[in-house]
Amino acid sequence: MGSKFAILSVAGLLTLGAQELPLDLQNSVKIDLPSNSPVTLLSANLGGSHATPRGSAMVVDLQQMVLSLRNAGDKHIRGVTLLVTAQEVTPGGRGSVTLASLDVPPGGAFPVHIDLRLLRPAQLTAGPLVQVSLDGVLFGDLSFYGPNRLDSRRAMTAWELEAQRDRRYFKTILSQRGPEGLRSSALESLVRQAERPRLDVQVVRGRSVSAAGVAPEHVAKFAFLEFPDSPVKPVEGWAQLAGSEARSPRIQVENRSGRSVRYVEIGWLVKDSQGREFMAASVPAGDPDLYLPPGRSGRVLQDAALKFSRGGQPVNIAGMTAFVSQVEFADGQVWIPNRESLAGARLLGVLAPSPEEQRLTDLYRKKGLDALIRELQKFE
Amino acid sequence: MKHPSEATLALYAGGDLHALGRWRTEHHLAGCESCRLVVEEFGALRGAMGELRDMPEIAWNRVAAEMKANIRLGLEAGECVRNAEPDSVPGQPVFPGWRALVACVSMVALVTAGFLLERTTPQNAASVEGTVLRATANGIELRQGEQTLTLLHGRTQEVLYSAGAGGSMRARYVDADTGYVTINNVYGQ
Repeated sequence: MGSKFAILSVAGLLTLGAQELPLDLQNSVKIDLPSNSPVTLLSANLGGSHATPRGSAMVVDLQQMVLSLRNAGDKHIRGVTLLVTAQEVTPGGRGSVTLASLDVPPGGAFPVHIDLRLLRPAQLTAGPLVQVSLDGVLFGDLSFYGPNRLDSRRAMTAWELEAQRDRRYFKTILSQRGPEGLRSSALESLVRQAERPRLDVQVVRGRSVSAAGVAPEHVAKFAFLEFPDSPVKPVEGWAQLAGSEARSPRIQVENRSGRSVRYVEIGWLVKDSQGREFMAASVPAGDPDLYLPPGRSGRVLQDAALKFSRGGQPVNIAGMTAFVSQVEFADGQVWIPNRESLAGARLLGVLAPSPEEQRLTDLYRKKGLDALIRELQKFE
Repeated sequence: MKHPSEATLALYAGGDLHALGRWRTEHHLAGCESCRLVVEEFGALRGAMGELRDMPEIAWNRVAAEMKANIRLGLEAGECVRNAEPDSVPGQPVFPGWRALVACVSMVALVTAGFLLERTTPQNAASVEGTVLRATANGIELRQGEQTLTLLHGRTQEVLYSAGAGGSMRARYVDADTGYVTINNVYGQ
């Protein structure tokens, strides 16, 4: 026991006396852009990146890494997604960094910040710690370039449609109610964002949360919110609930439009025992081969387990509601709910604002009404 | 603002703080970035120290077996010598001498030490297996076993998190330096 205690003590001393080791770009990061990519790399800077030994592990901080990219194409860029992998550390796990609501003209340059931390075994092996590659670029005309491994085409298209929708909303306010009306709307949005009830969600894949003391599991049914213009209608659905944990949502949907559908995403709300409603998660269609011709039904299902808490305390789930939040047609066009539907279903206060609403209201908060008006006037 | 002590933050990071202390610390952490960072550091350190449980270089079983064999050899040798002496007579003590007593005590100590050293370290009842995604004070963390990948959001305070039931988590914020909406997404597979 003495020997083991001594080893632990030495490890502890090593940890306390840990030294930061600087990282260099060539050995740490591999940046991979296709030769015909519409964005090119102007420069890369690792900032203050370093590695710190901690016992038998190593903490690698790629902090303030900045990639400077240039629009080498002939169209305005609206979004870029970079795929970030550290295969040796998290086999199968990966990350991405997306810049949405961009407006980069041909020839324009823009920075992408990537901050990453890895906790890995101390034994170093050959090869870069992190690989950064291009997953996709979305242009102003909604055309797309890239391998699309993360389905970034659909995600960025939906964000761009939300951006157009919300700019249109603020511009209508400006034209109908003037600058003071716009100020009032921006403030309303900021208040809504600040007061939006939030839930801490932990996602577990591979195995549900173990544990002693977990409440008995039961099957709970979803209630549904329906939007009049939604091309897909939710029919029925269930999930397994156990106290503050939910897993395996299954929702039957029906294509009521005249066009074939290849993707459906469901918004999942949960209600706590006091009746407060929270946005829990989105449920993407798990089947990559989903195809719903007009009038046909299909199922949206996932197997991950979600654990809900608030302020460190578990939140027991008393009810669940779902709504169709996104639909992709077979021709690649995307449907999203309009603002009237969201307001009518009282979802604006529960859902996070769109990336564009977040950006515009942040601009108003930091630079004032004139900056917001100038920004809105940039877009037709 | 009075900051909690490091000991309090360490207990909080390990989930070992009593309810009142946890509430007070959470209340403080909600408005104190520096203390949140300290809690994150303690959390990461706990993860790193967890690996020390499994040190494979020392074969404790083999060491214990060798020591046990050496003691048994000594006892048997002593027995051979004792057999050569005349049988004990009534009135003599049960233990023929202090050496046997020492050997017995050593044996008990050895077995106790072996039990303590070889005992499996109990796992936290709330631990999880597989891939876990969660939002931390600094970013979104993907944990597989003792290894993690975290996409950080720097100095930004206003971050919107969302979960995907397909096994993903997203953090969205307006980059303080560029003004761009940045969306970090981590996928567990």
